[in-house]
Amino acid sequence: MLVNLDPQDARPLYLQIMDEVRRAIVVGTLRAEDPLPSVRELAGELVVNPRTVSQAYQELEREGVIYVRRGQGTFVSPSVRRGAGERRSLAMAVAKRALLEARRNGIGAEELVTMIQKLAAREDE
Amino acid sequence: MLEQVRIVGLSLRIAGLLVAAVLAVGTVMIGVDLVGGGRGFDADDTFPTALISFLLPFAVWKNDRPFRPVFLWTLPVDRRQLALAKVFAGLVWLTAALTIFLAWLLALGLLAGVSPALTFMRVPFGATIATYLFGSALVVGLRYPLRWLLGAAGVFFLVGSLSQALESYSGVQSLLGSSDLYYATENARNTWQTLPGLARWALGTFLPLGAGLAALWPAASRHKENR
Amino acid sequence: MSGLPESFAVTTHGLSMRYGKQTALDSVDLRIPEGAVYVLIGANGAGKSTAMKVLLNLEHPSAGRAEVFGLDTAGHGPRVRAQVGYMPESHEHPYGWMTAGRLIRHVAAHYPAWDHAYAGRLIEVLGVRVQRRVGTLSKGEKRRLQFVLALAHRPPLLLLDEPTDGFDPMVRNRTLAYLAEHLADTPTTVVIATHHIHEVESLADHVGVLSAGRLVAQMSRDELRRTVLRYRVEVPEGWEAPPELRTPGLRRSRGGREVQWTLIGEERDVTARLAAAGATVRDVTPLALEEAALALLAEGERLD
Repeated sequence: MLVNLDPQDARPLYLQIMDEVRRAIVVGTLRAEDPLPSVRELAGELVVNPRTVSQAYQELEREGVIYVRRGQGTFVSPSVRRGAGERRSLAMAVAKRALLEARRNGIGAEELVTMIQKLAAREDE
Repeated sequence: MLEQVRIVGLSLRIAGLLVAAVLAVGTVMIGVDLVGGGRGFDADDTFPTALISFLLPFAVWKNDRPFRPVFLWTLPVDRRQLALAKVFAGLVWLTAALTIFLAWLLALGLLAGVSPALTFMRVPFGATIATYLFGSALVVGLRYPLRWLLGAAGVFFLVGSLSQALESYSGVQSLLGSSDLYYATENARNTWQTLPGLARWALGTFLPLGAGLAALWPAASRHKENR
Repeated sequence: MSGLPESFAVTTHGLSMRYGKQTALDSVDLRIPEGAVYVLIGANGAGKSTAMKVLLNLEHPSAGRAEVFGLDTAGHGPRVRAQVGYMPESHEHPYGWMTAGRLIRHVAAHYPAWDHAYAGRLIEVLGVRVQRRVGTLSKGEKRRLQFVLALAHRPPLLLLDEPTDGFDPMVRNRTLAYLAEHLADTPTTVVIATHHIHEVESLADHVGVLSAGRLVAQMSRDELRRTVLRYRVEVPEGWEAPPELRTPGLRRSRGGREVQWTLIGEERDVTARLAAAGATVRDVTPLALEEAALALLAEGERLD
C-alpha cells in the first residue's frame, strides 16, 4: 500500500491516512484480510508522529474497515469488499476537490458536470 | 565517581607520557652522573612538584570549562558533586604520579646511598596536593581564573616593589622592625623550628591540605543546583 | 477538542534570558503537551537553543522559571536531566580525543535506562565508526553520534537542537524516519528546534514561533491548519485593504481586482471581515508549515 500525504491538504493528517487506506481498498490494492503496515512502519515511512497513525487506525477500526488480530497486527476487515460505502466517501472527496477547483476558476457546478460527462463520453470511444 | 576517574585519566594520557619522558631523561642523566663518579643528586635538590600540581587543574578542566554550558553539565548528576568528583579524579592520578615519583626517587636514592626516610621527607606530598586543591578551587570557583591569577601576580609584584622601595628608607625599616606583626611571625617561626621532625611534617602536610579543601568546597558550591 | 486538561511535559512561566544588552528570551510561556512533536521555529539567534539550555539547567534564566514533568528545572536539575535526551546544536564535542565507542560507554554509565542493544543498532544503521576518535569523525558522523546519545536511553523528553543540521542530504530524511520509529517504540515528547521547517512538515503536530526572543505564536497543527490560510479575493476597482487586513505578503494582481494574501483567524471570522471590507472570497487554501510559520512570524513582528 502506497500512502502519499499532501501538505497542502486542508484535512488533518490522520484523515488523509484514513482516506488513503480507503482508496487502496476501493482500488483493490488492499483486499479483505490483507495486513496493513504496523504503526511503527507507517510512521517511519511517512515521517509522521506515530500517534497520528494510531489515531487513523483506531478510527478505521471503529468504522469496521480494519481490525486488530492479537499479536499479529492490523488487517483489513473480511466484510470489506470494495464496498459501496468506501467508494461513496471517496467519490465525495474527489467531487469536493473538483468543485473547489472549478469555483476558483470561475466555473459553476452545472458547467463542470456537463464538461465531465462530455469528457467521460469521449474516453469511452 | 569511578567513571570520572577513568575519563580524567584518559584525558591526561599525554601529560602522563610527558612526565614519564622527563623521568626517563632524568634517570639517564643521573645514571651518567653516577657512573662518572658524581653523587647523582644532592640532598638539597628541590622538585617543583607543587608548581606542577597547581597547574594540573588547568589541564584537567581544559575541555570542560566550568562556567560554560559544556557537555559535562548535561549529565544527570548534581553539578557540585560532579565538579568535586572530577577534582578528586585528578587527585587520584596526581597521587599515583607522586607515588611513582617517590618510588623512582627512592630507587635512585638507594643507588646513591641516601636514606629512604630522608628521601620520603623531601617529597612535599602535603604541599603538592594542597596546591592542586587550591588550583582546582581557582578553576572551578572563578569564572576567569587566569585573570585572577594575573591580577594576584600583579599585586604581589606591586607590593614587592613597593616594600623594596620602602625598605630603602631606614626610618620605615625601624618602624617595621618594631611592629607586633613582625614579632608574631618571629615567634611562629621559632615555634616551627622547635617542633620535632614528625610533628612538623604532619603539620606541614595536613594544614595546607585542610586549607585546600576549605578553598575547594565553596568553589564547587558555586555550581550546586538546589536553589 | 476534548476539553480535557492536557498534561504538559514542559511549561515555562515568563522565561526571560538576557546577555548584557541582548535579549535571547523575552517572557516566554511555553506549553508543550506530553507526547507531542513540538517544533520550535525561529531564525538563528531567536532564542531556541537558549530555551533548551534553560530546560536542562545549563543556563540560569534572567527571569521566570521552567518546569519539566512538573519538576522545577533550577531546583531539580539532575532529576530533570535524567529524563531528557539532548542533542546540542554544535557538533564539536569536548572529548574529541576519545573514541566514539568510549564516549558512548561514558555517557551510558550515567543513565540506568540505557538500551545498549538499541544504541548498537542505531550506530550501525546510521553508520558511525565507533573505533575512531570523536574528533576525527566527519561533521555528519559527529551529529549522528549525538543523535544516538540522545535517543539511546529512551528518555521521555527529547530536546533536539537543529537535528538535521550538518547531516548529509541523504541521511536527513532517514534520521527523521528513525525518530518517528523511535516514537512508536517509546512514548516520548519531542521538541525540535529547527529552521529547516519543511523537513518536519509531516512530523510536527505542534508549533511555537520565536521572534527575537518572544513567543509570537504557539498552537497545534490542527489549529494552524484552521487559522492560517491563504485567501484569494476579488475586490472592486480602487479597493484599499483596511488597516487590520494589511498584513505583509499581500499580493495584488496587475489589474488590481484580485488580491491574495495570508490571513490569520478562523475562516468564518476572516471571511466575514473580508465581506465587510467589500472583498469577495474566491478561494481559501491551507499552507505548508514553512509558509504558515513565516506568516505567523510576520504577524508577530507586525503586532510589536
